[in-house]
Amino acid sequence: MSSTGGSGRGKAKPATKSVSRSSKAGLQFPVGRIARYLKAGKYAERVGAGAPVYLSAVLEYLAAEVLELAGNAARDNKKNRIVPRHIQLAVRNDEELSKLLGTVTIAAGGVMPNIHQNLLPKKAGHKGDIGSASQEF
Amino acid sequence: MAPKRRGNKVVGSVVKTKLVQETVEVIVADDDGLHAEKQQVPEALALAHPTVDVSGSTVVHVVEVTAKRGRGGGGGGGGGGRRNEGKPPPEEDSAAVPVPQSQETQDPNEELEFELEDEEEKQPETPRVASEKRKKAATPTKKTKTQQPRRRRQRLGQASSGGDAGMGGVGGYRRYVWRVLKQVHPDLGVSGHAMQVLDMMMADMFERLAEEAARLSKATGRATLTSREVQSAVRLVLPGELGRHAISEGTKAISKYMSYAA
Repeated sequence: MSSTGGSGRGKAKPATKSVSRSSKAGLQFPVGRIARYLKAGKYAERVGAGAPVYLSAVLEYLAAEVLELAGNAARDNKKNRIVPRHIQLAVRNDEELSKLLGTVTIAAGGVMPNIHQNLLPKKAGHKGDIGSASQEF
Repeated sequence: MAPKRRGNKVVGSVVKTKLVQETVEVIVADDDGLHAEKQQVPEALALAHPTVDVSGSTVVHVVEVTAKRGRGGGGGGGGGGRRNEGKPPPEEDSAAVPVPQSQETQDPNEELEFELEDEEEKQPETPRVASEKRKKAATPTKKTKTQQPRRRRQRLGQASSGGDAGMGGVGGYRRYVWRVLKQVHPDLGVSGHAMQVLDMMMADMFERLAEEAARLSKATGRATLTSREVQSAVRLVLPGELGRHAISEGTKAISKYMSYAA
């Protein structure tokens, strides 16, 4: 053992503050938690270091996309709080999100406002056009 | 007790009755010492050291509790210091109950334990607790002191919370969805039901992408799930422009993560 004190393994490094992997990648979604889910779910025997970072970025992008459209739908309805109806309107009005979530039912989302054309009442015709529309046999 | 029969002969029967009289006296003294109050505190029986007189088949509990004026629940384990004020201590004569015994003598501490549990069961109870007690009464079990804390824990309803790995347990993705919402629309909020919908949507997308990536890694014969498999899974699962933008976001995050200088 060296007589200089310390642990005897060279110079003692100053304690550095730990930085999360989410902040390293510049993300809001949790990289470490998603890495834990990937390991616990037995999706593969081993999980690479880049897989949870990539997956977190993709999930964050999807969340931002849905939230932006849902927020716009809430503003259109003059509301300042997003409810499931706004998420439903946002998803079903977007072509790609509607394809992605085609088999998904959103709880308390309602349906899209749609009335088939044949179910609408016919417009009242003019007086001169009464006999002209009929076919002659 | 019914006589024991072996064949057609009556071997013998033991019938023993005990009359148990119980007197509870609780003295609560204030800090000033001006006056003393007598109370009936059923919860204090389990906490105090009882004095048992077995000679006359009488169980006498003398409990002395000092109440502080600062706290509201001085006497009776948080039951309120002024409850049942001015009432004399009750003397209950329990009915003569036949006690089946194989031996002539009985341990007085065991009898005292039964009495304490009866005192605990006199407290007001909810219908759920009453139904649980009816079920327990149907199946006779030997009462011991080690079973009391377990029964209280079940009554409080302390259940272990666990969830699926994909669902993310209790918290899930809620706080992260909230952060993203504040980035996109800082002045908007989100209801609880909508947050639950978004949380489950994130968990569903995680499962879809992870299963597709696992299928790809198994198809290529590799044991490691890397970002290459995740990228291919994103290409397969997300349609059109959504997939292209997601791939660019993932690549950007990977490059920033790798080039991070600690």
